[in-house]
This record gives sequence, structure tokens and C-alpha cells, in this order.
Amino acid sequence: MNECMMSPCMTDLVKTDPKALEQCKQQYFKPAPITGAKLAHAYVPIQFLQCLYEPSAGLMQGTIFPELDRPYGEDPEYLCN
Amino acid sequence: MDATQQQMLHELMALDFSIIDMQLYLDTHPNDQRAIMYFNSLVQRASVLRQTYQQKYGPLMVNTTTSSCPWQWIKDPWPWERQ
Repeated sequence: MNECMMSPCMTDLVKTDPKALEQCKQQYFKPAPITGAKLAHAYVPIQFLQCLYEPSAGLMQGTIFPELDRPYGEDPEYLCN
Repeated sequence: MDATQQQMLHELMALDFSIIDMQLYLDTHPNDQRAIMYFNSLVQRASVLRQTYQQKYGPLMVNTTTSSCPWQWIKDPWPWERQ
């Protein structure tokens, strides 16, 4: 891939460092409780763009958003027992 | 299909996938300028790569390329024909 086609402004969003990616993943696992929530209403937290997988990694994982890359069993919320 | 062709196809698939994922994000975050810039850079990269690929290996979509003679669409190998 031609390096110069990568826009320089994007270097801060696309991350390959596993630590940084893990941080992005974790940010939504324990979201701040929604205050003033009403019963029987569904709530979806707003997604804030913090980091992205590079295209080839995204294709492998099925999403370019690390925070949405949540295989069942790895997210403590979804662990059995 | 040689290794270069396979790699180009893979990169193109990855870029196109990223474009779709960014589209989904932008549909709900239409004012995110950073995301739009990234989306644009992806589209540009995909477009250049697609053009390079098609010049070298033949058409990917029948309705976006003209054909030389003989008819290029049926030229082997098909994208799924790996060795």
C-alpha cells in the first residue's frame, strides 16, 4: 500500500498498539450509569470515536471499532459463572 | 492468481469493509469531522487501488469499466480461483 495515500490526520485514530486497542475496548464495558433513566425504556450509549483498527485488522475482526469487537466470553459482562 | 493479485484483492476488500463500517458510524454521527476525513481518505485509497487492480488484472465490476478486445469480463482467473 502506498504510504503517501494515508492521510496524516488519521494517524491518531488508526491504532495498532494492542494496549491502546484494549483501552478502547474497555471503555464501554463498564459505562457510567445513565441517570434519570425511565423504566421500560431502552437506552443506547453514544459512541465516541477514539481509535480504529486498520482496514485489514477490521476485516479480520468483523468491525473496525475496537469497542464493538466483543466476542462473547471475552467481555466480563457475558462470561458465564 | 499470483500473490500480488491476491494481496491487492485483500487490501481492496479490507478498504471496502472499512468504508461500509465508517458509513454506519457516520449515519448516526453526521458531524464528526475526523470520521468524515478518514472516510474520505479510505474512499480515495480504495478508488486508486481499484483502478490499479483493474488496469492490471481486469474488471471487478462490469458496469464501471470499459473493455478492450477480446471481452475482458470472462478472462481468468476469477477472484475466487486461488492456487
